[in-house]
Amino acid sequence: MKVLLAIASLALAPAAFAQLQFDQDTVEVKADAGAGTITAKYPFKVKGTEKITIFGTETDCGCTAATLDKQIYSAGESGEITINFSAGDRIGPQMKKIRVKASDQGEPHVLTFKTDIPVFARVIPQFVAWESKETPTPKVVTFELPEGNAPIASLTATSNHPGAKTEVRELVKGRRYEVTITPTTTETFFLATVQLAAGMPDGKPARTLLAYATVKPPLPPTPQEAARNAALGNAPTQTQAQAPLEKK
Amino acid sequence: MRAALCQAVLLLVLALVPAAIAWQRLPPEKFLRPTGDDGDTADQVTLAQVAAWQPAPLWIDARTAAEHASGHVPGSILLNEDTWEALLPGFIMAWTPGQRIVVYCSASCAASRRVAVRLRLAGASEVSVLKGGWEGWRSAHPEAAAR
Repeated sequence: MKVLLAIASLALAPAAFAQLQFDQDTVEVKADAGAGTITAKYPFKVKGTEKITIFGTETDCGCTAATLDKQIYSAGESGEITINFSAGDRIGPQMKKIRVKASDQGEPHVLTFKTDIPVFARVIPQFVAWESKETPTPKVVTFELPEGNAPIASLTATSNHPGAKTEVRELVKGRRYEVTITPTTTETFFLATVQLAAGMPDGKPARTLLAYATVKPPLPPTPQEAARNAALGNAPTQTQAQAPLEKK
Repeated sequence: MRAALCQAVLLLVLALVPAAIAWQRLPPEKFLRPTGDDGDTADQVTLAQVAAWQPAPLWIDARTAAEHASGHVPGSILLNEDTWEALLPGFIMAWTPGQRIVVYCSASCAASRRVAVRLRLAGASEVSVLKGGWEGWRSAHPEAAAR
């Protein structure tokens, strides 16, 4: 019976180990439009009677870095893990996982970081394209401010390439605009950058977003199409498909 | 014999106690990693499907610049959310209207799905996400990945 009790206490022993206990596993941070780095903190406490070693952290994105002050924490000691999230050009809801490997359990602790990066304005689509020799019909890009953003004073569109003409039309005062882009010709390939400059009220500096217009060679025919064209005596020329794209 | 059997049953019950505690505190789903296969799978394509496409699609690498530099699908264009605005013109230069696009990232990341969504919003159509990601492609092309 003594042996049995000894084995039983050994079996129950792991439940008495120290435990790394976080105040909360998930932290949600409010972000501003154009936020560079967003920081979140995950405070924790060592519960139990043993010290804990934090071996390391692992994130599921190169954009998230986790730091902690030290590796070994005594029983009852508090600490915190800091997460720095580089927003880059990200927009919208973001969720990143951080895995913390510690001596209290075999599997890592999983922390979650959440944020929602607002946009100043939406440009949809961000690029318009024509195939070479296609009819140079106008194509429209919409510039729209999301709900909650203050209206702008004006919008101007400037193309850096003479092959793309732009025209701005206000649809909803200060909130929604239509930018019509028309290629002067589709005989030559080009890529034009269109600067959309939003004039801000109260003399604040203008904010600029970019759209693109391009004239490109068409897709090469599939082998089946090429065979069919050859049979009909309509073999396409290779010259245009190989011509370089002019970028401004 | 009967006493030994009783002890064995008791030991089994005692062993189950910490196991139950561990299960309750640390359920297995807590450790599931997010993968590129998460969520909607309607726009996912396999390597076998892509191989059959004519003309060939444009490959988009949604990983970081460092990961792209250390190895990528030949001819792929780097386009990620870290530096979307700076990289987008490079994509437009490489893409032909109507050409299918296949976005990939690491098998354990969701960046390809996000980049695919942004590409559709930006004006591209026929955008798919590679099932299995970069690791899947590398396993299927060990000779190219070794270069």
